[in-house]
This record gives sequence, structure tokens and C-alpha cells, in this order.
Amino acid sequence: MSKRLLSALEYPNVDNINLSEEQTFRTIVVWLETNKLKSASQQVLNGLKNQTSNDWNTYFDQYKNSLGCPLLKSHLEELHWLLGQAIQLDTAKNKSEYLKHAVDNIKTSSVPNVITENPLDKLDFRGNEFSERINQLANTLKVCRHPDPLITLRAVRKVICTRLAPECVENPRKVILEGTPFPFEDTDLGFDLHDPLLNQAAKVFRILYLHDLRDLQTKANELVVAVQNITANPKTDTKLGQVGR
Amino acid sequence: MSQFTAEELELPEKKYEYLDHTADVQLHSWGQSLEEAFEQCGIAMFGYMTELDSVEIKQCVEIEAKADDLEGLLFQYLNELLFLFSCEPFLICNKIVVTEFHTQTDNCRIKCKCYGEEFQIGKHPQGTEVKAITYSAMQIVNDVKSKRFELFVIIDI
Amino acid sequence: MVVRQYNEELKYLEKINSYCWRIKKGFQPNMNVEGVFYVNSTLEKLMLEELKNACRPGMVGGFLPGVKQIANVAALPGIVGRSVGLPDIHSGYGFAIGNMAAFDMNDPNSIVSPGGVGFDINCGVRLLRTNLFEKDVYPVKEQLAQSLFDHIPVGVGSKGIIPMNAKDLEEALEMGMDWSLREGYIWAEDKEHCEEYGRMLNADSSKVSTRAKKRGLPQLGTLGAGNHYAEIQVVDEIYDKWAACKMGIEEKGQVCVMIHSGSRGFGHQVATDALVQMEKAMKRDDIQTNDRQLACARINSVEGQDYLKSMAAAANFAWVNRSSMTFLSRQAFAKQFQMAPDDLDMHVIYDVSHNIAKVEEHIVDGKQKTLLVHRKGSTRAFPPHHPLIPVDYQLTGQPVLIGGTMGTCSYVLTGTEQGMLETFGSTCHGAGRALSRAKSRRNIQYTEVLRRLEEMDISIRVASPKLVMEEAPESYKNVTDVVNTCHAAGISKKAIKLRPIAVIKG
Repeated sequence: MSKRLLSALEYPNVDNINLSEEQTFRTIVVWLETNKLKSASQQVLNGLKNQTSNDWNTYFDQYKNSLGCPLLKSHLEELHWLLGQAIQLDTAKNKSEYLKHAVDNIKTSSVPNVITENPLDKLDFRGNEFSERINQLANTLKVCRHPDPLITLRAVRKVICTRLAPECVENPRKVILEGTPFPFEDTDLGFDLHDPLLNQAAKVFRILYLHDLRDLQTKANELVVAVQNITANPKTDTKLGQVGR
Repeated sequence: MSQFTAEELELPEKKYEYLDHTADVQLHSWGQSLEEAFEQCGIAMFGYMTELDSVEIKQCVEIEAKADDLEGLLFQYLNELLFLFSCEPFLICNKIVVTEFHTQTDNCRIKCKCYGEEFQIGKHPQGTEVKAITYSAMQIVNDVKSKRFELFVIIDI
Repeated sequence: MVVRQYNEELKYLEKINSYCWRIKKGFQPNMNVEGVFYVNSTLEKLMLEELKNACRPGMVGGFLPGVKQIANVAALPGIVGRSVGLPDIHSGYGFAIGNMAAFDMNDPNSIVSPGGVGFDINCGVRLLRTNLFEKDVYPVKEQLAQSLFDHIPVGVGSKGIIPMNAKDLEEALEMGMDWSLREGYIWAEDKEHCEEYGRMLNADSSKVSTRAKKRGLPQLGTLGAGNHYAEIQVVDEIYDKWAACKMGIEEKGQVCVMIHSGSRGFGHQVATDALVQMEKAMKRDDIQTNDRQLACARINSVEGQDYLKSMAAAANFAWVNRSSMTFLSRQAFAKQFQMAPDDLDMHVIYDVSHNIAKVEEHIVDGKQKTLLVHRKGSTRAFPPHHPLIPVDYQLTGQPVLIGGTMGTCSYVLTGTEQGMLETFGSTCHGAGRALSRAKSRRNIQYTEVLRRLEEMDISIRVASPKLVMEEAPESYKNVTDVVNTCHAAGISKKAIKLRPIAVIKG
């Protein structure tokens, strides 16, 4: 991988170098600093350029510190980190060049580029009218109001996107998961805030947190299943024993 | 089976028993010599894994064990036998003959021939699985004067 | 061992309440902390009788009584809190079976002991649910029992039927259940409902002897013998409706499958190898213990670290093993009912480990500490909201699976906050032996046992008739006594009771 980054940075003769050689490592560090990173002070740079010196590592440590390099276990990892920095700099410099090839741009380029004004931009989000209308909308959708109309709007949007989407309206059972009710009021919170209201609030947070956690776990499971589609090939060898006679 | 002589095929007299133990079993073996007690102890362990009557002598494997002291030797020797059974050649033995036996401290050594055959489900009734040999309450009676040779070993099952 | 009269010994024991006894310092020499054990009146008698027998003059050989073993563990370097005996405790090798003890990771003298884990590393229980009910299964019960028996290799000398070579084994040892997932033997959700997510990350197969690998390879995917079994069970009682509901158990009569197995010859060999290494380490580091069988090494020593890494590999082996049998059970059910395992809703409810040492965070005297918790014949039982339990059980506490013995009930409990404080989140693991094997064989008739199982309408398939006697319910403590003691003492809470309708044994 490090070699691929090196060749992307157009380092000469990448195929024939051995990254675990100390000398090669030092040469690359100096090359990266002079051609790409260009951040070291003159003193450090001179220190690094003196590749055979015994103090080289002292200068290298100073150099890493100045770049904010984390503590890594080996020169190889450090090199990889430095290369990452250089690649980032390079990419940022030529951003417009790369964006031409971005997937989004390729797709839309065939569509006529119509720039319309967004009417929402003209809204006064702090105005009374805005707030009243949002609250009306919230009432209709039975969404609880928040003093900040923008937050209420967010809740309204969530309801519309999840519950009023066409597929959901057509077939609500498919989209709205019917969980089994659970008496969370009676469950032990695990700690006591000595205030019934606060305890209640803490429980709500707990449940919300669990909801997020469940989502995350489900996504992880989906990922595993996707990988299984490629790797799985369960076998039994009945010669080895008696199975399903 | 012509490869084995009549003498080799002759089975020794049974000189072992199983003693009480809560979760495990204690092997107790004896003999005219310490060698014989060792041979019997090994057979006793195999006897817990299957009915030895069902075993025919078709194969012979030689094993060797070394240790610093006698207890260690008994432990290592039984370990070797358990290993013979647990993977290739999956050998179940009904006869063991000690061919070399040294008992001086710091250089204990045993070499023996193990006679039996590969364990086959269907032919050999399944007994209990021996998980491991333990040093727990291990006793070796090595009384040359009164000719008492006895071994006590607890095996974890 | 200190030799005293029985009534002298009793002075060191104090009954704190109806379910809990304290073992005071001095009961055995050099105790760093006190001991404690949980028993009800029935189990109490068994426990004290064992001690009384050991006090008889002229007693030699055999194991120390469980109480003495708890006290000897309390004398090990680095132990914190208390040395805990669970209700199913019985005498074992070094540690009693049903003993848990925690050691401070930050104390350089703290030790790790293979005897505190046991020979069958990560022996454990897994419970699968189905959406079938007793009435669906009853007519085909015999066929189903036979089918499970045909699918799962059982008994001494049986070999696994999932093809494995040495390279597969290496990978499985490092990856645990992730290996089974990758190969497609199990479902993604299985991993979620498993202690440690079915993989110990510190496993290092290079620390495992070739001998252990050789013993392990042919045995992967086999049930084993001894007290191991696979059972078809039905829900007999629901004590905690909501906890049951979270586990997907709706009603009485619902059918489940319980698999009780471990790391087979692999784990046994890892333990044997470690004991030999530890003896050397003890001499070198001059570690004093009351009992030679309590072989141990400092956690930070090479031997200690190597053991923890190879133990983790054995734990991974056990998870892959139980996963392989999960696969085979699903196949057996699918064939019998001509339905996909998915449609039978054959999800893993949970998978617990009985014999293991783990690094955990606990509060000791008001301070958070990193501990190496040894559980031998003891199950982790973490309370609700503990970060290490699956999201589905965050509100109920971790499910604790308590396997009964042949023909008796099994239980599902949940972890409690009190258990977290009193026993480092640990509880019992099963019934625990009461009679010796040889005694069982003498006292109990093989045909009698089978007849009684038949009377209870339990189908049985067993590889070794000998075992039927050794494993008869009479040979064990009553699992209901054990579970009720844990419940009454508050260290875990009853959720579900299961009754077997078919047993497959080695």
C-alpha cells in the first residue's frame, strides 16, 4: 500500500526499492519533505538531509512532532502516515482537477443545469408567522412542539419522511416495525437521580440510546451478511462421520 | 494378523480397579513390579474409554516418556497414551509392554509397546472420554522389600 | 492443610443469612481475603457433610472439600474482594468447581491459574429458540431425537464432520465465531447474542502446542462425552414475562434446543501444557500456595501471558465448536420439518461460558478496578445496562443459561445489580455433582434410569450406556435448589424454566 501511495506521488523507481531499509526510509522522508510537505524548519531539514548522521533520529522525532504524527510502532507505519499527509496535500491542491472525475459530476453532466431559486431561502425562520405555521403543521401531525420552531420542523420532517412516504402509506406494516411493548417504567434505571422527573427523563434517554444502538447493531449484521454472500460456503463431509442418515 | 506372535497376542491378567471420586475417577493398579503397575495403569485408562473385550490386536505403536521424577513420569506416560487415542493413530490398547524403564531422579524414562487397534465407532462401545491426567492425590507405592507396587491416579473426565 | 476437629472448623464459618455463609480468615493459612458461599438448607447439609468427612481421622488422598478449596483460593496472591463459592460448588482440581475469584491486574503479584479455569476451557451452554410448540414436535419427537443424534457427532472417539485442515484450524483459533460466520455456518445475529461476541481478541495460536492442535483438529464440531449434551426442551414456566419476551419466548410449550459442550481435547491439552509450565514458574518466582494443585503464574510473567493467549484460542475453539453444532441442529430441524431454519426462527438466545478467565472492570471498595476474573463452573451474570451485554438484553440483564442434568429441568436466569456487587457478576452454572461416578454406577441401575426417563416421556439417544448411570439426576445436586438459592440470594433472577423432551448424550 505504501508503495502505491509513493507511486501516486510520483516517487522515482518505486518498484525497485525496499521500504524496510533504513537508508531508503531516510531518503524517502527527505524527498517527501523537500517535494511535498515542505513544512520543516531549515534546521530540521538540514538535520534530515544529513542522512548518515547519528543524530538523524533526533531530528526525525522533532519533525514528526511538528507534523503532529501520532505514536506509531515502526518506521513503516510512520512512513505510511507521512505518505497519507502528502497525498492529502496533493489532493487538496488539485481538488478541481479531481472533482471533474467525481461520480456525482459525471452523472449530472448530461442533465441540463437548471439553477432555480430556493423559496425556502427567503423565509424568515425567526418570524412569528413561520413559527405559527410550523406549530399548525405540528398539531395536524400530532407532533410535540418545541419552543424553537426549527427543531419542531425537524421533528415534522422526520414524521413526514418515515411515516408519510408513499411506500409507508401504501403498506404501513412493512415499514413501521411493531415491537413488543416493554414496561420500561418499571425497569431499573441502574442509578437514581433522586427526582422522579429526572429519572423519567433519564429513562427516555436510555431508550433512545438503545434504539440507536439497535440500529447500529442491525447495520453491522447487514454488513456481515453482505460479506457472507461472498465468503460463505458451508460444507459437511459425511464420510467423516454419520450425518443425516 | 500373522505379524504378531502368539506371545504378543496373549493378554495380561487384569490388575486394576476404579475407585470413587466425586467428579472424576481414580485409577488404581498394581503388579509384580513397578513396570507392571505402569502397564496396568495404562490399560485401566483405556478400559474407561471402551469395553476392552471388543479390542483386537492389529497394530503396535511404540511410545516414550521422560520426566524428572516418578510422578512426572506417570503423568507424562499417561499423557502419551491419551494422545495416541486422541488423534492419529486413534489407538485403543488392551495390552502394553514396557521395554525400557529408568527411575533414577532427574532422568526418569519409560519406553513401551502399545498393542491394540484404531478406535471404530460401531465396533467399540463408547465409554467415557478422558479429558486429562492430573497430579491430584497421585500416589506411587514402590516398595521393593515387600514387593508392593501400586499406582493411584485421578483422571479428569 | 490444617487438621482440626469438625466443630473447631465450624468456628471459622458464619451463617450471614439463610442463603449465605462467610469463611473467616484463618480457616486455611495465609488467607488474603475472606471466603463466602451461597447455599440453601439442603445444599448447606451437603457442603458441611463434605467438610465433616474430610475431618475424619486417617483421611488421605482425594480432593479437599469445597469449603477448604474456597479458602485456599482466598490465599492466592493478588485476590480482591472475596473468594466466592456458588450453590452448585463441588470439589475440583485446585479450584473447586463453582468457585470464582478476581485478581487485580495492577498488582504485580497477581496470578492467573489454569486450575481456576478448568480443563474444559470455555465449556458452556447455548440456547436456540424455535417458533414450534410442543404439540408440533410431539408426534415426531423420536424421529427428531434420532435426527439430532445422527447429525451431531457424540461420545468418545467421535470425529467432526465439518471438513477442517490445519490452516482452517489456525484461522478458527484466531477468529472464533467470526470464522464460523465467514464460512457461513452461522448467522450474523448469533454472534450478537454470545458472550464476548464469540471471539477473544487476545488469542494467539502460536502459543498453543502442536499436540493440542493435533488433538483438536479431528474433534472440532463434536459434542463430546461426560456431562455434555444436546437437548430438545420446552418452556415449562415463565417467571419474568418481559425478560422472556426479549428472548423471543412468548408462551409455555415453546420448543428450544440447548447445546452444552466445550473446547474438547484442544482445551484439555492447553490446560495440561499450561500446568506443566506453571509448576516451573512457581518455583522460579517463589509463589507460595496452600495446595500444590493451585498451579499458577504471575499475570505479567511469560507463562501467565502465554496461558492467557492460548486459553483465548481454546475459548475460540469452543465457540466454533458450539457454532458448528448450532449449524447441524438447524439442519436436523430443517430436514424434519421441511422448512428453512430462518422460518423456524431458530435464533440463538444466548451463549454462556462456564470455565474461563476474563479481564473485566469492577467496582471494588468504591473504586473502579481492572480485574482478571476466574470463573470455574460459574457463569457471568451481568446486570441490566452493562456495556458488555447485547443491546437486546440491556433492559433485562444478561441471560444466564443453567443446564440441568439428564431428565431434569434447565433454567434461564438474568443478571442483577446485586450479583455485580457481591459476586463480580457471577452465578451458578448447573447442578454440580453430589455422587461420585463409581458410586453412581454401583447404586443406580442403567435400565432403571432409562425406564424413568421413559416414564417422564423423554426420548433419549446415548452413545455410552455406562454414562446413563453416571449422569443420572440422582448423581447431581438438585438444579432447582441451586437456582432457587441464586434467586433468593439475589445474585441472579429466574426468568424461564425449561423441561427436556429429548436428550442426546455422549
